Amino acid sequence: MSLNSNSYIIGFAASVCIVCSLFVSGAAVSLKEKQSLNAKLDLQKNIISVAELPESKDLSALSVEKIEGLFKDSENPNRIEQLYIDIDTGKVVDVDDAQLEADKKKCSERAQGVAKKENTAKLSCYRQYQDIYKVYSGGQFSRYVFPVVGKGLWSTLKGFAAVESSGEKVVGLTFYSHGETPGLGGEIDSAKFKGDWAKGKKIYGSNGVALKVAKGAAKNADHEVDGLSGATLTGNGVTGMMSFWFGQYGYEKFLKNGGA
Amino acid sequence: MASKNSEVLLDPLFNNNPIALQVLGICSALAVTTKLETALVMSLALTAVVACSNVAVSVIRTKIPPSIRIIVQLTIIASLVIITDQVLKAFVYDIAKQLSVFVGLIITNCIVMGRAEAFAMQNGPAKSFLDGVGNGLGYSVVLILVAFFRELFGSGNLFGIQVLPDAYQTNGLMLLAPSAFFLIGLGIWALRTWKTDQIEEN
Repeated sequence: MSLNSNSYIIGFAASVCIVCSLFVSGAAVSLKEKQSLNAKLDLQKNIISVAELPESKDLSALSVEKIEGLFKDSENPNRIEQLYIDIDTGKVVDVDDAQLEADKKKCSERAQGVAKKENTAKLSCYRQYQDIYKVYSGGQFSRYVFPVVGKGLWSTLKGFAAVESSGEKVVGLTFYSHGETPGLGGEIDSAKFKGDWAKGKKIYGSNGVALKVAKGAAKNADHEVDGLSGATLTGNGVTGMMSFWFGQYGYEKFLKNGGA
Repeated sequence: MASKNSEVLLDPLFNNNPIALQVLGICSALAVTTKLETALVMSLALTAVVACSNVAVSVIRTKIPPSIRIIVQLTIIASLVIITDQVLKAFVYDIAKQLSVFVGLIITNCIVMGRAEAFAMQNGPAKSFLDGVGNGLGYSVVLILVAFFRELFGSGNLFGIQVLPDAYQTNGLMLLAPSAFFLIGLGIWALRTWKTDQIEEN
């Protein structure tokens, strides 16, 4: 049969497709478990990084078992407990997987329910049940870790904010996913920017949430952190994100109710 | 076309460099060279893809109907890129996160298509493999050189470890895409001063 006959061409194309798709799906299926484990570990490492446990110092040296021990072992004096809160009431709730799944489905609808002016984090997905983390250090409850999400300049910033046990100050902020310009907005990942937050910033001022990324040097060191040069808009994004998540739509009710 | 195996492997490094002489694959050379680590992984990923796609295309080269040869090459390349992406996500998750879409964009990297079409369609699998590795290395040399200077002057680090003293004021321009253009331009200038036969005639 000649290389140019129609039936040969169709047959050849079909067999190339089948062989290639077998390889691709084989790789995807066989590596899936490892990948989702990696994604989960990455998330947990980020939580540990703002949890300020002795284990936080050298994250790359943490083994998988150690990380799981921190999250699962309730006997461990240093541990991180995951809770769910109902963001509308600020109370801790028991939810099962089905409820979480249903909640995820209507999250974009809920985000539209937030007035545009109030949606300072520019969320397109706003869930009712929010996971939060309680950190115990040496058997003592030491701080909360809250997930925070918001729009930066180019991308969605996803991270965790640590709040001291009294609920007054933010004592850490880290990002596990963002796509800001490396060297400019990307500096929200830098040790300096994170270190500024770790100094402790009072969440509430006289007019609600007062956390802010300043333009230039911080004027009010109680609430503000130094801005990043060349990254005013990313900074504004972080400010908007913090205002949202510690305001009435975020963790304010939970914190003012005395937490958990 | 070079005929000896060693020439097939080594020619693309300096004599016939895919970026410096043929000016292919510039897009990713701008994007992933702010850090040495990402540049290195990207180089490895691309070298693996070119080498494997060259072999695969070469093996079936006499069977490919000429009228659909480009799309067949593209299917093979795309499959290999997806597999590479999956492997990176499974084994070097942190770096895969930084490379994000650029691994996927290897599909559109002209070096891969160019080698499949220009070399693998005419030569046997062993030689095509060497050609793929050689061109991958040629790409890697440029990528790593650019990343070396960008990371050194842009953030004062090498492989994420600080090497320049704190007093060094980092140069933000080095982290932006234009600096990669400058560096590649300077590199091409240096290379053509050394190998004058690469200068194009007016």
